[in-house]
Amino acid sequence: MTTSLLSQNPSGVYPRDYIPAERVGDIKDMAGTILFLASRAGGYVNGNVLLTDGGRLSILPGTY
Amino acid sequence: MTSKSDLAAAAEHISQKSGYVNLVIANSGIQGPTLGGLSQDASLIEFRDYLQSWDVEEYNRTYAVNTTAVFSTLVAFLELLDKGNKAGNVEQQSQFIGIASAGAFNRVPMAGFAYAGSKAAVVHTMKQFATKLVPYGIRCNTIAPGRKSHRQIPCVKYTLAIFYLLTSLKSIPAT
Repeated sequence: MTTSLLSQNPSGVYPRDYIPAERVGDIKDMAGTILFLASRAGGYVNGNVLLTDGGRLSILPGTY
Repeated sequence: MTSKSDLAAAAEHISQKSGYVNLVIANSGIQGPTLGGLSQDASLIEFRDYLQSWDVEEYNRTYAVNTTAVFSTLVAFLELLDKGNKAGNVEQQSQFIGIASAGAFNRVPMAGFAYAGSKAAVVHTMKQFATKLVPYGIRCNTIAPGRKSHRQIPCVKYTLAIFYLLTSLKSIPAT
């Protein structure tokens, strides 16, 4: 899906003024989020949107 | 995921195997037409012509996979999610998770207009279902990931692993 976008920056390092975390999200970021939601720890979460974007929507114009 | 009959077959397979689910994650997605081939200093006419060159079928397909298929997956698994609640094998209520994208909120079209629109639609559809499923005790949440180092297959494997883990657990210790 986003392979072609990623190939634009093979180094994987991004400037802080684009992605504050300075990297793209990886499978560990995704796994942790899913584990939280799937487990008892996230059992009180309903109707929520979990944004895991390394902070980029704090920098880029957005609607979140 | 775009085929209702395939989804029904998947639900039936799981129904035979475990009889219920506690969690369903709709993770598939495609990028759709992008602005990748357009130069930064394109004139308005170049910009217009570029957008006009996009294939309508490809544009609609983005919605079919990213939005409509998430809806169809939820519908196909509602009964199994209900049975998950009745099984009582985990403390938390059954849950559907739609995978959207940070692109749902980003005004800068990184992938394209169809991708962002289809993901924004997922966000709102999931919110509506969170409301609509309250009487049935099924939760609905959304994850909006930023651009990942794209590993679609391991990601799918991972979600499937959790899926099977949760469906196979008979009890969770109280502590």
